[in-house]
Amino acid sequence: MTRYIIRRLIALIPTLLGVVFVIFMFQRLIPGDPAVAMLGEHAAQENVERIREQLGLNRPAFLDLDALREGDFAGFVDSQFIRYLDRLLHADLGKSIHRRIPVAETLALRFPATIELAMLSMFIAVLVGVPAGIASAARRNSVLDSVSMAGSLIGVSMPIFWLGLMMIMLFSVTLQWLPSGGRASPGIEIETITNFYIIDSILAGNMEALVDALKHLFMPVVALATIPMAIITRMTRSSMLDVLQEDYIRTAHAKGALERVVLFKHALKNAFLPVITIIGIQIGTLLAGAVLTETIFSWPGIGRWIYDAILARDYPIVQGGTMLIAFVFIFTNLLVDISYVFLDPRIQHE
Amino acid sequence: MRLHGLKILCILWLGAMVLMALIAPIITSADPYIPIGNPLQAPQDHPPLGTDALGRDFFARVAYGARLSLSIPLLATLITVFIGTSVSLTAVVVGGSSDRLILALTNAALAIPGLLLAMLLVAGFGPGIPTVVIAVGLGGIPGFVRLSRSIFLGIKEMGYINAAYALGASRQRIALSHLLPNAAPQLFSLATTHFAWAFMGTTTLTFLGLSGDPSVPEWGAMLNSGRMHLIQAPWLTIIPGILISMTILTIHYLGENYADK
Repeated sequence: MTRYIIRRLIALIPTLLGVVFVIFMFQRLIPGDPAVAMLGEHAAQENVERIREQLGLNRPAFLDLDALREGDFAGFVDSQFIRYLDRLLHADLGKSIHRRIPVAETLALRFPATIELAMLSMFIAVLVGVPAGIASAARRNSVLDSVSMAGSLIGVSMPIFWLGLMMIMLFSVTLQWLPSGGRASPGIEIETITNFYIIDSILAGNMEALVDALKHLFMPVVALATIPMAIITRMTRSSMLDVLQEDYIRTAHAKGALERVVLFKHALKNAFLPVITIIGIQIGTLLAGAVLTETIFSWPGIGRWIYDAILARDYPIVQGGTMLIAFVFIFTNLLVDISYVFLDPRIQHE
Repeated sequence: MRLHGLKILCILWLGAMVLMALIAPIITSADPYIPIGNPLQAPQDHPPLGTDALGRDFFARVAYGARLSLSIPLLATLITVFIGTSVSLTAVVVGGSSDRLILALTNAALAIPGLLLAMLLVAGFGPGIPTVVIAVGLGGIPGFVRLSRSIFLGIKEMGYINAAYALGASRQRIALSHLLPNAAPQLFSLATTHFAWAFMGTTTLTFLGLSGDPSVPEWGAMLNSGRMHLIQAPWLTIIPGILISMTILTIHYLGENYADK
């Protein structure tokens, strides 16, 4: 088990390096000099030179072959990419161009809001999607199946920004049941321990804050959960249908096992592997969707911050935020890989 | 084939959208850029769809909007399909370390959600419709490379490809005369599903206000300006949203039934 995890961790290194490389290359694709972008068009030439020096922009992008010819190995590896990696290893994502604040710190501060939203959405998506998929497969071509398949088709087709706006129109404007944005109402004090408002308000025993936090979470969570829910429903259904055709299921039926037992004990365990995989992949959709959801519902997470930075062309923030999301995605998929071993012991020995 | 009627409805819907884009100047005499009356008139006061916040005929904007709304994702899809297919075809035919390198880079790029990749590009190049086309086009490449590569790999295992190699056909000939034509139907199906993704992606970016000039009629951008008037003029948000959702839904439905066949 430990060996399997170590192997997976080692296999992660090239992927992480690849992500850094891709994001680094994107930065280089951008027209214009980053130093000029930071200082503005009318900056003095010497200041631009100083910033270029500070950022290492006067170094070659990857490897300095001239330095190698002169036998200067330190100069050979001293490149923009290596310096960038070095800064990353020290959790330094640079500073915001406009506000001069360190990107990494602000990301860390805003991240719990995004994780709270994303985790709750995934929880709801699995809670609804998996049973709906199982029921659809068990009663194939029934009314229930048609309804859940039509529902999931609508789910994947409806843009979440539109769904979000329609919910605001219904629940906030017309019915006035729910707040249209933010994480907490003015006047609600939550002592921040974990920065997850649900957990914090439970820890503090503050029922009023908990209800308020849940009210604020409701619409963003529904908007964000729709697409993963629809995809999980479809995947569970098709995976269950595959498994239900297997001989051992017929055997289980033949020996008189209850349908409930066949479905949940015999079929689901084997059908769950592809479902877990798709759940892992959906984490990516969810995190990218957070940018949209947070923008519509003024949610103070990293998605909203990335969006504001895109409009302001504050590239270090966009880059840092994208990197964080990609790393979270990679690590959740590592957890998914590890969970395979518990679901299917054969995998470890392959 | 039980749902044959639904399939026809989907085709009719898409046909109607394309037709609306093509004959926009015939079905409406109003100019989508020029105000013609009071702002925010309800559909019953200014048929058929009222006016927007600047007093422009909303139906004209919806009709002309179909042009950009459909052609932006189409162009983006063409970029994705062209570059994606070239990369995966090269990887499969050349094989060896080039294939491994391409696969490794693809997997790394896939760790960044396509939409975020597109946003990263827009952040760099600045808002504008050409940027949105390029961003969504490039953002879709990693996923497309991975899926088209597996299509090509499947075909490469076929006996006739081995036979072509045995006859001494060059790599280029194998790629262009054997692999590509035989993969075409599957690639087309893949491109169709990808178009739905690109449509969602481009309207998302334009909804986020990344298409630059807000006066240009495009459904996502129209939704974005409509949401400022959610209470007084809900139709400005409801109508473009229904058009976007229905178009994506019909493409998904047709793509799925094409694949099931």
